[in-house]
Amino acid sequence: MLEIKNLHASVNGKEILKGINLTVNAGEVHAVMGPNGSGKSTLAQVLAGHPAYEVTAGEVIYDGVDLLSLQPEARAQAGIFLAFQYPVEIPGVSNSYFLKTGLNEIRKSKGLEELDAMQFLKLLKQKMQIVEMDPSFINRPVNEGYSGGEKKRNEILQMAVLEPRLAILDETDSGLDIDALQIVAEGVNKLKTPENASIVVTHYQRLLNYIVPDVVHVLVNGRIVKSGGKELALELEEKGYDFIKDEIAAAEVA
Amino acid sequence: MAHETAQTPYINDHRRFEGNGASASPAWMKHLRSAGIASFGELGLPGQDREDWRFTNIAPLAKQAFAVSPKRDYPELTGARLERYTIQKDEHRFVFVNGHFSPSLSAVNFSANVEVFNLASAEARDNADVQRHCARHADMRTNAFAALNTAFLSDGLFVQIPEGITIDTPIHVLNVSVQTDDEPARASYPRLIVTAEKHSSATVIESFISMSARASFTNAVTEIVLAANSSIDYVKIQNEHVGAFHMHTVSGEQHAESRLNMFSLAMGGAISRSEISVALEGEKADVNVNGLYMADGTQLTDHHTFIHHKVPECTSHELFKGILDGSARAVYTGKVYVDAIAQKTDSKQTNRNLMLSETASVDTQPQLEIFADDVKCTHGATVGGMNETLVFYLKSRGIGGATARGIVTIGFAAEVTEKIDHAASRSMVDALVVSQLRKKLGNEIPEIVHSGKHDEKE
Ligand SMILES: Nc1ncnc2c1ncn2[C@@H]1O[C@H](COP(=O)(O)OP(=O)(O)OP(=O)(O)O)[C@@H](O)[C@H]1O
Ligand SMILES: [Mg+2]
Repeated sequence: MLEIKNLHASVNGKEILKGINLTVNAGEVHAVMGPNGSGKSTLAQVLAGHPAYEVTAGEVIYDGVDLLSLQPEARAQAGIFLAFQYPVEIPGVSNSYFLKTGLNEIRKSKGLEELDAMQFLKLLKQKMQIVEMDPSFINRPVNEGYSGGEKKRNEILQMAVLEPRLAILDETDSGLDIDALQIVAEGVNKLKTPENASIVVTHYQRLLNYIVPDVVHVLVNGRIVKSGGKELALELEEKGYDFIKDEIAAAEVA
Repeated sequence: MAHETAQTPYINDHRRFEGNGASASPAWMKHLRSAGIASFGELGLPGQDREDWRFTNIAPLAKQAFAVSPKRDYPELTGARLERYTIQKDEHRFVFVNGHFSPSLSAVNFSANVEVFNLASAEARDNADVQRHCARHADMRTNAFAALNTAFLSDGLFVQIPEGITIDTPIHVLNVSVQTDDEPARASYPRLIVTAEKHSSATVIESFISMSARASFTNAVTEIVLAANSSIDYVKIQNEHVGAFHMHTVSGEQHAESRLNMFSLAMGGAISRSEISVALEGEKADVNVNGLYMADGTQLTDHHTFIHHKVPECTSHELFKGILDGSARAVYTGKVYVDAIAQKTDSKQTNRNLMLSETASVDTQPQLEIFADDVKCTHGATVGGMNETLVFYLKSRGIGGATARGIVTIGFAAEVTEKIDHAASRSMVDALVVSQLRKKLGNEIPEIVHSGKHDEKE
């Protein structure tokens, strides 16, 4: 489904991703862990098409298409969704309008009929129930004045409404209380079908108790230095990044 | 015979005006008028050699002659046609047609003992409060347009909110400019005086609209005086036709612990300028001066603000935002002046401009002049395109193109319209902003919603 080959990316002339290789098959959940500043968010943003990051080498094939040639909105329409580590506020624009417009753009691109206000509201209410969000958020401006946890929950709501094929969650678990964590996990698990996949960026093994990953990757200094099963996350939690320090040293030198 | 200058037609017009029906005015008013024309004659129409007119070229206004509008009926101007300008159904509505009060189009129903006078009425002539405040606050010695307005002083509105009284229903002054095709180009000189006595409060909205597409000239003066502990919300909505010239002098005077919350929306007019000055005369007075200007085509929009901190412990906050498209030009000059004794002044002044085209331009000049040493004063200005982080967020949800630009623009505008406390005024301003943007970017542009901060005033 997604094949990342030797991906290099830089921002303001500084190289951050230094040759990422990663293959995600339909039906899989991949976890990406790694120290602060190692490039996890950069990878997520590059996949979603943030214009500030320049891809200097490598390629990304998504469902047989050259993903990097697509505009961000076309990627979203093709089923890619990024839950932002830092969701932005849009004063003046209601959550429901924002989501309805996004959903309808995606539906249009697939040749599906647009939902009208009533149909959409019904859907939105359903999804809000799943992520346990108060209905007052329907008409509140997008993310404006929300608490950290509410913003994260709102990202999951968007994911639930847009029903992506490939969801990329960038530290959606940080700042969440334990209940919210379960809700987020549930959101991801509900999405899990043989056709879909997700990449979950996290610092905590905790989330992986709820979302059981098929593969865990460790990203250090712009490279994936180790990949393994779910037990790798446990090991990391226990021992820190020190126990793979040889791999880290190798990444640092290169 | 003196040589002809741009102000000659106005001086001649004033002479005709005094010779006609204006003789019914009381002596004090005539006196003010002669002072006004004398000052205007000395000052002349401002040229760009004047520091505070450096960025604003009024040549297109100066090269035409606009004669003062006579009081007359326009049968096509009906209450039904003015319906859509209503802010709130039960508002106290004062309609002025080309500067003349129209009782038949107005609807006023005060339950409290509010002093309201039409300046042209017999009752206003002898009223001490009217005489004390009318044309006493706006500075006509340095401001040519305030002087010119005073030269034609004969009609207008005086409102005094009595001590301790809160007027819940807004006072809406609707200034309509209208001319038939066979009339010469018209000028009107609206004047509004609002005084809030101690511990009183009210919301005052002043709208400026024009019913015809022809060039017209509105030269208005608004004077607002706040006694100790009083509170006024003042909203100005300027949505005249793009052929209109609009000059407006707003002068505020605040006494101890009073609160003035102003908002200025500027959308219409070929050239429009709002010159807002507020003198903080009493300790712990608080003023907010906010505004939004939107201009397109070849429009020129100008806001000029002057906040004078004369005593300690006053606060002033200013946020002006501009959305500029086409070859429009905007000017923002904001000066905060802090006297040496005005310690503990807290002042913030911000101007932000969103440029939707490469050919639009803006001259922005926030300025501070501080003579006290224990103050907290900040100012800043930005001019830029779309917030790219926001645009990316929208695109990542499948929303691109004009809709994304519209949403970002809505967000930009909403950040300042949310500062209007009075709910119905805020809705009106929001609706005007949205309809303007829909013309540009399509009907996908959403209604503006605000977070629930204002619920207490709805
Ligand atoms: N726009 C930018 N300008 C400059 N540097 C940037 C920019 N974006 C990212 N970087 C730098 O790139 C590096 C990787 O950042 P990134 O956000 O990808 O890290 P991360 O692995 O997600 O870290 P964290 O765990 O703290 O979220 C950091 O050193 C960061 O400072
Ligand atoms: Mg990160």
